[in-house]
Amino acid sequence: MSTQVLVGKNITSGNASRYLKPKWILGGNSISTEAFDLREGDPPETYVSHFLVASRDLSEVFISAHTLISQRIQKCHRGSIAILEIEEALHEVNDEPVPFIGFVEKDLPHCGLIYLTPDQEKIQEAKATLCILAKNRMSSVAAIIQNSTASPCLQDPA
Amino acid sequence: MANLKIKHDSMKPPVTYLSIEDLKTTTAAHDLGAQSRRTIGDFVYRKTISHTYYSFEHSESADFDEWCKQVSEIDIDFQGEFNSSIETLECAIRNFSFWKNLVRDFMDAIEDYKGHQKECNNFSQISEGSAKRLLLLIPILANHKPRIYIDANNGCFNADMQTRDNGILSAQISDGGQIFYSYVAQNNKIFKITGTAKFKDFRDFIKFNKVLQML
Repeated sequence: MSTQVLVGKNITSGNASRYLKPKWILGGNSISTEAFDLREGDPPETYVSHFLVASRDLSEVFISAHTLISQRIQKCHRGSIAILEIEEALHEVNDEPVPFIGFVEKDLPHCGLIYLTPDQEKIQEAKATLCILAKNRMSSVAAIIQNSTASPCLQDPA
Repeated sequence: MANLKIKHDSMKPPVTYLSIEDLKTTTAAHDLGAQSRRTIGDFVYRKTISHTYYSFEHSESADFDEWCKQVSEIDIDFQGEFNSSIETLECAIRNFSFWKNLVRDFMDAIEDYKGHQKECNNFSQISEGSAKRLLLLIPILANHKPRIYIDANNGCFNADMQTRDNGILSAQISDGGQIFYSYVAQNNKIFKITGTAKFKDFRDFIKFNKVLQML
């Protein structure tokens, strides 16, 4: 990963949504670090896919995220969606002089989480931290769909 | 940290006793049904006759050495006929059936990864060194219900475990005797305990138990 070349503009704020597969959800609604692994796509991917969501109204963030994600992932109704506040994520993860992660544009609203260090110890910490942050703002797709049909507004998931 | 009482017996090696409450905070948490079963373990539990304390052998167990020996002799061919490797592995763990569920999770992780490998050519080859070292850890991981998966970036095994304070302890086992771990949770703010455990001998992997006590 030390040979990664940043492509696209850096993103330092906003809400980044991430689809979570059912197998990535541990007991007690914790999230496995596998959710933030580099493992998608062919040719080789160097980022973890997220989708930027407009944040005019916090209660609609999940609905907007689901709209974006469902266009790209056919069976997303089985999983969950987590929202990362990019500014918060960068602040919590990059707590050393050299940053561990970044977010870059990838044909918006698609954006990518990138790892800026080859140090596996730091990567493990970054992923675990992202899991804690994502856990605080996560909802099942089933609940999002149910809430969106019942009411245009969602309660604050936190 | 467990509250330990040291009992010395001139006839036997020193044995460290843990209270029931201490057990709940250590990897020794285990149902009573296992007490009568032979486990790897004298390093796991042995109920005393007249006390509700459980003993934790301070020294390395010969049975863990046997487990290490069996693991080191396993030859898993991830690239070829994996089914024959599974049979070999199942035969090796026959005497250690207590951990069969976790061994099953280990195999499921491999099958899942190989399935993805067929779809994505960029997945790294599974690291045999990492696989063997994860098997070594199974006796001490078994009670923590880890989520096992393989990192596509390097083919190494990961184990994620939920902590009692709703945090996460994530560990990646490298193929070179290192375990990169990070425990992250939220108290007043998010806190992190991160490090690298380094072992040069298979038999020393049992000492990763010290890290798992954070769970």
